[in-house]
This record gives sequence, C-alpha cells and structure tokens, in this order.
Amino acid sequence: MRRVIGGNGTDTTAAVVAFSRANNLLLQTDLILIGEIWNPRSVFLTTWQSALVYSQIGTFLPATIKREGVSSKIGVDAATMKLTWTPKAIQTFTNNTLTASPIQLALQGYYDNWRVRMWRCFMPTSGDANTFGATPWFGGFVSQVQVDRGKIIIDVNDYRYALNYKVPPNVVEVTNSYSHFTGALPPKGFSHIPQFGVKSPSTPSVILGDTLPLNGFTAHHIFARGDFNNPMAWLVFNSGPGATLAGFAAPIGANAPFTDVAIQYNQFSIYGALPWAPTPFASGSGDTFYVSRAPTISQLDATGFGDPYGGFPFVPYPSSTP
Amino acid sequence: MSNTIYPSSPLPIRGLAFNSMKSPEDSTILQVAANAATVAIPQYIDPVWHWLLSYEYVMDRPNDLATGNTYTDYRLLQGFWLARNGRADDFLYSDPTDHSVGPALISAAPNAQAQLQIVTDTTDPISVVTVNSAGTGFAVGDYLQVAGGGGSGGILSVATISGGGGTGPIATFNIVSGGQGYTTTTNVPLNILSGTGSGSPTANITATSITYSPIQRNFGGLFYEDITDLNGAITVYDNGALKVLNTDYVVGGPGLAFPGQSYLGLYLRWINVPTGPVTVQFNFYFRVRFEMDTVDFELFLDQLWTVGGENSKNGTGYIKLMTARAPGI
Repeated sequence: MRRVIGGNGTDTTAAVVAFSRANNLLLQTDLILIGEIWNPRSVFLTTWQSALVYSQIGTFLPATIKREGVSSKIGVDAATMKLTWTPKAIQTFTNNTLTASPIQLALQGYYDNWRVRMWRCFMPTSGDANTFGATPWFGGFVSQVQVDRGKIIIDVNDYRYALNYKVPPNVVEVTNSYSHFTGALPPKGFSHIPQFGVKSPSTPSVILGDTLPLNGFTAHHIFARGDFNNPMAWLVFNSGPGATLAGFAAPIGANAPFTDVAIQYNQFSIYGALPWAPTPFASGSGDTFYVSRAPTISQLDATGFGDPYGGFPFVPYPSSTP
Repeated sequence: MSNTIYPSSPLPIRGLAFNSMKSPEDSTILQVAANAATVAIPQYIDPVWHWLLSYEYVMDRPNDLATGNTYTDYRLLQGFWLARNGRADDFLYSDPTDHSVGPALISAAPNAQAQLQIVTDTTDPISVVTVNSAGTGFAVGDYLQVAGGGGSGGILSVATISGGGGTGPIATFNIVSGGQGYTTTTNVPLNILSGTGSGSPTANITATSITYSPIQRNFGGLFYEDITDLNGAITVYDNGALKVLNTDYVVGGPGLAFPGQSYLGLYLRWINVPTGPVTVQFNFYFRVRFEMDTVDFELFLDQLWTVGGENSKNGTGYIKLMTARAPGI
C-alpha cells in the first residue's frame, strides 16, 4: 500500500489500512496542486463538495475538475494525465497576474511547465482531511495547456518524462564516460568503493554505517566530516541475506563520525526519507550499502584516477547546441 | 450566479399543484465483488435536491393580477425562465414546505430541533492582525506571508493603505489564511509574496482557538445539512440567551474549512465562546437552477396556461429544479 501521511506529518498508513478493513464505507477524494505551495497564484483544487485543509500542503477548494485515470506500471515510460478544469465563471480578464482569470493566464502560457501534484485523501469523517491525510497519487509537470470554451485542459507528464529527453551526440561527448552511465566513485584518496553494514539506531533519514573489511578497508574505518558532502554523493543499498532495502538509493546531504558508546561509525544524512528504517547488519544478515562520491565538477579539482573530472572539458558553442 | 428569487406560490405566482415532487440525490461508487462483498465510496455528503413543480393553471389575464404584481402570473414565470437562460444561471428557491428552522426556544428552553453544532479550530490560527511596521509602496491586494509567530500557513493581503494614492504604507490587513500553530506575538516579520512593496513590514498577530457553529438544518434529528443562503436575518440563542450579531458572533461563508472539519454552507464565527446549546431560528433558500433547457407552457383556455396540470395534454408536465453548487475556485 502507498504510504499515507497525516496532516501532522506522521505515517498513518497502518491506521488507514486498519480503517479500510474495519469499514466498508470509505470517504476519499482527490487533492490537486498546480504550482508551488508558496506561490499565491498556485491552484489548490479538490473534488470534494467543500474546502479541505490538509495541513501538510494547504487548503484545497472545491472545483469543477475532471481527470483521466492514473496508471501505474513497471518501467520508465512516462505517464500522462489530462486534467479538465472549469474555473468559476465570474472572473474577468485583467492586466495583473494576481487578479487575472485562470483562463487568461492559461492562454498566456502562465501555467506552462508548472509542477502538478495530486494526492488521494482518505477521510475518517466527512471533511476531515488531516487525521488520515493523503498519499501521493501523481506528480509531474504541465506539458500542454489548451483553452476550450469555459474550460482549461491541462496535459501533465509525470516526472519520468525527463528520462525521455534525447540529447544529440554533438552535445554529449561520446568519449566522456561520466556523461554516460558510471558506477560508483571511490572516496577521495581511495581506489575502491567502501561497503558498510547498517548499525543501530539508524532511521529512514539518518543512516549509521560501519565499514565492512572489504576492498582494502578495515572495519570501523571512519571518513572525515564532509567527505561525501556536496556535490552530492549517493548511498545505495545492496541485496543479500536479510536485506530490506535492496536497490534503494538516496543522495547524501552530509556525513560525519558518530560515536556509539566506545565505537565510532559513519553517519550519513540523506535527502528524502527511506520508506522504513534499514535493518542493522549482524552475523551476515541485514542491510548493507555502498557509498559513491560524486564526480568532481571542476577540472581544476580533479587530481587523477582516484579523483576524476566528471564534466565536459569541451563545451560546445551555444549556437551549435540544439 | 444570481440572488434572484424564484417566484413562489401563492404569491406572486398562483396555481402551484399540491403534488409536487422532491427527491434527494446522492452519488456513491459501489464496488461489488463476486462474493457480494461491497465497498461504498460516497462522492459527496450534502444531497443534490430535485424538485418537480406542476402548475394547475398559470393566469395570463391583465385584469386578474395577483396582489402586488404588475405583470400576469404567466409573464412573470415565463420571464423568470427566460432571464435565467434555462439552465445557465442559478437562483434562490424558497420551498413552500421546507424553508425554515426554528423556533430557537420552546417555552423559553432551547429547542433541540433547532440546535447548531459547536466546532473549534484549536490549531491556533491568526484571528486578529494589526500593522506594526507599515513598509512602503504597497497596493491593495498585495499578498504577504507571516514569517514568524511560531506557526505556518498564515497569508495576509493588504486591505487598505495610508496616505491615498495607489501605493503606500500598509494601514490594515485582511486575513487570507489564518494558518495554524501561531502564538500571540508583536512585530512579526512578513515576507512579501506579491507587489512592489518594501521596507520590512511587520505585524502584530493574535492567535487563538476559534469557535464556529455551522449553519445547518437538522433533518429528522439524523442528518445535518449545510445552509448556503439565508432568507432574512438569523436569530441566535446560546443556552437560551439571545446573542447579538457583530457583538457575540459574525456570520461568514459560504464555506468553512480548518484541520479536521469542512462545511460548504454559512457559519457563525463566535467572538465569545458559547456555553451551548446554540439554537437558532431562520428562514433559508435553496440555491438551485433549472434542470432542463426547455419548458412546456400549455395553453388550455383563453389566457390560461398550465404546466402539467390535469388539463395538460401535450406538454412535459413540470418545471424541474435541482441544487446548484458553486465551485470554490
């Protein structure tokens, strides 16, 4: 089941599952945000009969909106969703984006490439969008906006559309291996990738790791604070006995030593929480991960094989770049 | 959307038949499995009402006008239809058999059948805001975000500016969104979200729990239905004591939403927290629209029309009304 986040930020998935099992009457509705939370002209819409407050995001107003179904499939094919929104009829055309009719803004391309997010909200009682909250249902960017009589038709491509962007070969250097797929990069000064066993008390967003005696590293090797800071390095979980997060990866925001009683571990703070806390690795079972340093982005900083430059040494002339 | 009132019977339009029909409509997605296990997903809670109105006769006699009319009944009714463009415009309808709530008191005791709910927003939204540092160059309608005070989600707009002209220092605010989690604080910084204002404006905010009573009618003691349009004033009692508009409460809406609660109708926003029970008496309208773009008026005698009366032979036989629910955005 998708993870459901309550209005106060807590994980309410278990509560929603329990409620669904105990009741055969469910109150659900869609919450749709076009734009960003901080933008006063963003559009907060819901298909419920009255306004709903989902404290994680904001107040969603009842709207005349229809959407196509959302499909979920394995793979990297981008999905699209078509939204048809009929704004209130009383709005007029003005020369101020703050007060202009949404139809006017749509005609002028104001919503082009805006982010669109949709949540499925579960309500234990009519109008309570906060206790159970909502689960992300669809996300993407506006790809096309059409204005028909009295309605705005918005095509939304999901985030994976970025993977579909083909880059011509004369923009991407064919000899630059780092512009294609590259495996992990060892930490600066090392020639191998460190492997870590997860240690307690790791959480979904702060991972403690003890180096495994592999690839030239000794156990309990401690990396200096900031060795994996920006440009962001990546933390990738392995498969294996007892692994619960195999394949999950996250960018590292910061790393530092962490002392648990008398033993020091490496602490990694990651961007974007994992779905659950990793299982501590012990006696050959549990979660393990490796850490990859990001390639150096400045040619001047690169020092050689262990610290390669990962950018484009020859930037094409802008006029020849499609 | 208009506040035009449907010409009801017996005034100004005579001849409404007794056998009119009124139907509530709900919308439920029903998932039924092969083993008959069923899950129901309601799409809305307040029903959509449908009325079928028949008129035994509708007079078109200039010498027989209803009291207070200057046009015949037929021309008033037909003209009302034409002015609404059929289904295009909505209007207000006072159902002859269902248009009031009350009395608030019976023998000086609160009438439970006219009782309103009391709900409280305890998330400490901003309830009052005044200017501390006015800034410069602001225009009416500029948006500002409350950046301090311990809470989040507070959005203000400039209501008035000082000194005349199109821009200037902020004089007063409107609370666009009260947010939640604030504490009563002075000199709270504001982030400018729109407009060309500057000068680091700040505000004094008061954050308190706010108590509301959604204006609803209690149908059979079993169902609270939101009221979107009042017909006249509402009289409010708190535990049998009469309360005063703008002193003890203000009327807001339609539409009320705060964490955990949502209503599509009007509401009382209490200035002083009520003791309870809150009982009221008021008349109300249904906001409706015509349900079809054609209507059959049948002439069965000289200057006498019918819509579905016993003399009707060829017409569809009724005027159909249905609940009109306006979107919020």
